[in-house]
Amino acid sequence: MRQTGVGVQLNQQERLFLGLVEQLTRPLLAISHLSEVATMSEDWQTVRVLANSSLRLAEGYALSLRVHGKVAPLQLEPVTVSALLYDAAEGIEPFAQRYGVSVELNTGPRVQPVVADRQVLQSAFESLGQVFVLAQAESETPGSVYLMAHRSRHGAVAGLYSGSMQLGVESLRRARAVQGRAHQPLQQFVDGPAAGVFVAESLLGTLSARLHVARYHNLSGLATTLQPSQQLQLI
Amino acid sequence: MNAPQHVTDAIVLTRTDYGEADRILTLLTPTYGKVRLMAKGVRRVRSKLAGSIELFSVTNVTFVKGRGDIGTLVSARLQTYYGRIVQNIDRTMLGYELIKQLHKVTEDELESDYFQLLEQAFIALDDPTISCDLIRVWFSAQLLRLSGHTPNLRTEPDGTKLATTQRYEFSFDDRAFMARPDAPYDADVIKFLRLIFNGNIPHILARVESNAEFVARCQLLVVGLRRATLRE
Amino acid sequence: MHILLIEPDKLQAWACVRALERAGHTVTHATGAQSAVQLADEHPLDLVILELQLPGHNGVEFLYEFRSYPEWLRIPIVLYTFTPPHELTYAATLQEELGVRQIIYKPSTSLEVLCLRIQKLVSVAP
Repeated sequence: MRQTGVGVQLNQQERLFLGLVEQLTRPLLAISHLSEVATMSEDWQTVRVLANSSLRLAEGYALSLRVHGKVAPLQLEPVTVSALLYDAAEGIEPFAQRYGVSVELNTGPRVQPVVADRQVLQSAFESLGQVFVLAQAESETPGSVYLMAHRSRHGAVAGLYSGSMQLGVESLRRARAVQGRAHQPLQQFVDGPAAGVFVAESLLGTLSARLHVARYHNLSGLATTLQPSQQLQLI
Repeated sequence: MNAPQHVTDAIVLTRTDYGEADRILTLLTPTYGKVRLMAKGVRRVRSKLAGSIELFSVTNVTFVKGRGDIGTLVSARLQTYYGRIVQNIDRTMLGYELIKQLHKVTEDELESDYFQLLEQAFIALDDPTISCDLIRVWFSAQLLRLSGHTPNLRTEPDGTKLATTQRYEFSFDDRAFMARPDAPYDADVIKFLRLIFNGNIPHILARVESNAEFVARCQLLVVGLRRATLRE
Repeated sequence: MHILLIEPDKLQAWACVRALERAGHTVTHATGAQSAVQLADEHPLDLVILELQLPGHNGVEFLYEFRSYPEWLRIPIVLYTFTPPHELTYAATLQEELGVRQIIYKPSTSLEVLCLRIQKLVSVAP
């Protein structure tokens, strides 16, 4: 395992890249191995879904790099959070299905529209979704992953939640510190580099937002609080 | 009449099999030294991996003494679990190694210093910013110190004070430094060794500038001295 | 041969189980250390294939726990892991003290090669 804290001179982006590469090694290996044993069309469907989800994760990282590096500008527009979560759920669902995990959507009433870059936000939720699906899949009785949004006094809170996996504030804080330097920064939550969490954070960072541990309807998860547009509220 | 119950904090040193359903735990405690307890009915199905007595933790245990040298565990409550240790394979392996070292080089009757040493090792292992090499060297030094085998870090064998401008080699026979040009150890390394053998905890040592370099330079000396001095 | 495969990724495990079954083995799959110990209790085993990077308790903890039971001391264990070889600084301890017979780096090993190496391991075993 890497010697953390001594002689490791990776900057934030390098660590994120390293975590991403490690994360992508897994589905790529699964694709390779499935190709060895595939006989039914179902097998090839799985290969395709794995390839697509890996591509989405890589694209999410690339997008965050482009926006942070000012290579691509943010395309800010009014975004209906519930519609965006619906699109993200559709993106996550094929991947979840392969792992026997169901994806549920729940958006509360009167969630305010926000001004954001739709592609950045959707990519963030999809990246996060992959991690939650893998975490659920690892439990003895895989259940559901929930995409939920609700209104709060701080803004629109949107994120991913699950019933069985508890993610604590301290675990997230420590994971951020060792991400890219430990193979399993969120070991108590999910096996593997959990790069989707950090790609999501990088993407949300372009919108001056961040992930935080959240609880809603007896479920725990990771969410972000987005500021509603004052102008849109007047309309 | 019921046997009196004893309550103490404890750290697991070993777990072994016993019969159909039981396990024998060797625990390190601050008050009773090493204690061997039978944990009844916990074999396999309630494997220790999921039990309340985790490795790399401090657990509060209640036990009764037995007629022989094995008591019976009555109850256990996890106090502190150093969970970050097992997030890292190297740190997990070092944790097992340190537990084994301490168990091998100590008798059953132990001062509370050994319990604190192992607990301090867990605290350091639980912090990913503190390197495994530093922890390994520090632990070896503490085992030497607690057993009364601190090397002479002040004078040469003939009593001459160590000088800041000299270079030294270490004599395992005399357990002291001897001046010699082009020798590997200089004043900075010796100062670092003094900090280690004074009982400073790893968190303090990790703040010393260039500590990684010092650790690399004195690792062979300290670990070698431990192996040569303490039975393993 | 009855093999216990300890692999947290279900899709990865599924491909692996398929390959091993085609090679004529019976496979029991566990996703973590805790369930692996329980399954080992329920099925007589000839070999364990273990990923070190597991959720919750890691593979090293499993190894120490597994080897603390006398009847499991002689069961050969193969590490089939994402942990890169240069990071396994404790390879000697794993092999000498914990009875790990082979350490195989997953990303560079096809399932065909895995099956061949296991076959070779079993054929030279005492």
